[in-house]
Amino acid sequence: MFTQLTDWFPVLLSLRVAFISVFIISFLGLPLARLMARREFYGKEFVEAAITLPLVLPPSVVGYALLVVIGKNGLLGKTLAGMGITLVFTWYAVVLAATVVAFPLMYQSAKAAFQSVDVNLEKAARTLGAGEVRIFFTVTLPLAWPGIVAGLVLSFARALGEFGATLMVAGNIPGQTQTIPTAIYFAVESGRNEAARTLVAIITVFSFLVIFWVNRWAKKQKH
Amino acid sequence: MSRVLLEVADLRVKAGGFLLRDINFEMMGDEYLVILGPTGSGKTVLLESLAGLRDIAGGRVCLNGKDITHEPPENRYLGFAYQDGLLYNFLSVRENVLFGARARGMAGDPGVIRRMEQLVESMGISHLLDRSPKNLSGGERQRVSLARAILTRPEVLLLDEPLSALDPQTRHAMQLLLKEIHSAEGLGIIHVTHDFSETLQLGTRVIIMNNGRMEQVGHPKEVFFYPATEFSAKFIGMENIIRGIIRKDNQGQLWFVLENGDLNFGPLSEGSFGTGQLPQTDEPAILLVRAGNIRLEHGDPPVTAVNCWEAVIRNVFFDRTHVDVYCDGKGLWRTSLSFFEWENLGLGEGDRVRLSVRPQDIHLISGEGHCDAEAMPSKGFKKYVF
Repeated sequence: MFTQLTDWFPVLLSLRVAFISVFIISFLGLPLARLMARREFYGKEFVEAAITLPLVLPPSVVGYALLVVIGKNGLLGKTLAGMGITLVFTWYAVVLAATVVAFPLMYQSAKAAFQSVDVNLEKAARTLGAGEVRIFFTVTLPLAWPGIVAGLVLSFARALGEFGATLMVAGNIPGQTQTIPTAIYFAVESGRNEAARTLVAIITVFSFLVIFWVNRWAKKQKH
Repeated sequence: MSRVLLEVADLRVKAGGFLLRDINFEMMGDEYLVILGPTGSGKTVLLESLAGLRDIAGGRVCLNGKDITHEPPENRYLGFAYQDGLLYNFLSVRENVLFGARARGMAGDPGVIRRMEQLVESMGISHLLDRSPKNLSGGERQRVSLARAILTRPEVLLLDEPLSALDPQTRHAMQLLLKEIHSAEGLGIIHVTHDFSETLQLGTRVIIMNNGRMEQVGHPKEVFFYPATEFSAKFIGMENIIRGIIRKDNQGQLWFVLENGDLNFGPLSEGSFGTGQLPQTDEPAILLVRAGNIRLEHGDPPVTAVNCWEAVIRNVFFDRTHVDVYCDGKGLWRTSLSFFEWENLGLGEGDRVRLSVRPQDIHLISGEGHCDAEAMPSKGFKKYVF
């Protein structure tokens, strides 16, 4: 039923892409989520809608939009091409697609987690002499941690499974941009069902274990 | 003599649709100042403004002569303890107590560690240091919160309803602890509450707040017997609040005459008035008498003296230590006497009695203006207001 996997490249690339995307998403998403959870400013709803858009748009539309930006004749792509940098059809584009698509999941979870933090606990820290940065790391982050971890896991899983946008901007180049989802699709297309089944099993078991472990951990945190 | 520690002048703070305004007071270094008021009167907004947690729209706050009006909270060095303790459940009790010291980079100082050990020992929480705050009782949480607030020796300790969430026994123990902290630490305390009995037990001075303004400032006992406004009188639970008018007799003496009858109280002197100034004839006034200051006797012989009137007992309520007797005679009056006195009188509901007030117990305030009864708490007096 399963065949011995001869090409591990899609598995390794998918994991690498998922980890890097989650790192970028955390770096950008946490401060943004915190800002949106606590501050009011003009045009906040507009920004909010723009951030959440990739969650509801078909991935092919996100992929098309990315092509418009980073494609050879794209808004940013042209400038980069002038500097000798090409993003499309490289594994950087895979990371970019996964990051954009998975970003709203992390952002929404983190924002909800920050909103659930009792403002008075932060105020108390201020009266005890802590500045804003210290409060973020020693009070807000530990209190919001379960929600943030949930966001990390969801965005990791989403990045791992990204297909549509990836195909648009990075294609399916074996040994270069082929991830587990694109490899499965083309394996089935070319009638290599057994290879497809092996990859399906790997990604399913892996995702299941991650979600199972996180749920157990979250339950423990509550008690 | 103690020095001025905190000075607040013309403070003005906007909090959503709420406006705190005209706040003026000075606090001496050894004072226990209570800020008393109903929900929504602005007492917590005031406390948070002093702590630096609110944007100040106008006025000035000075600590030890230094202007701290726009200083961020972390630079004010004031202690702050909230109603439910606001402890960090993800840290141990020890780390909670040390939080302020860590934030100020003092946690490694052996002197601070020694002080923490002494503090938790004296507050009876040393056995809790390695536990999580999650499993502590309300009283224990409050003690940890207090230890955390005063560890770095602030000169002013701000307390936001510190006793409200506690059961009566724990509350009593906490009151004793607060008194001890006040004298042992030599700091000024500002304590926000809606409970007047806390004010009487702890405060050296009280500010009554109403709708964002200071309604009255004074010693708690002075406020207890001589509230300056109808609002203060109602809020502290003055039992008899009676409307009337000031009249002058043939000899030129002033009397308080009941609105609904020919009952006179007086003759009045400057001492009868909260303001210390005699009002004009025919001015409206409000008579305030504590239930314990109305004397209740058998109805015979008939009333002849001044400040004396006849009434009929309508209701009798027994409390553990005293009896509240409601009498109907040109209005409804509430009197209070000890259980023993009541038993000796041998009276019951429906009996005729004689009520009297000593002239020195008559306290009058202006009857002008309007009192916002909506802001009142629902228990204590509502039913007895005429």
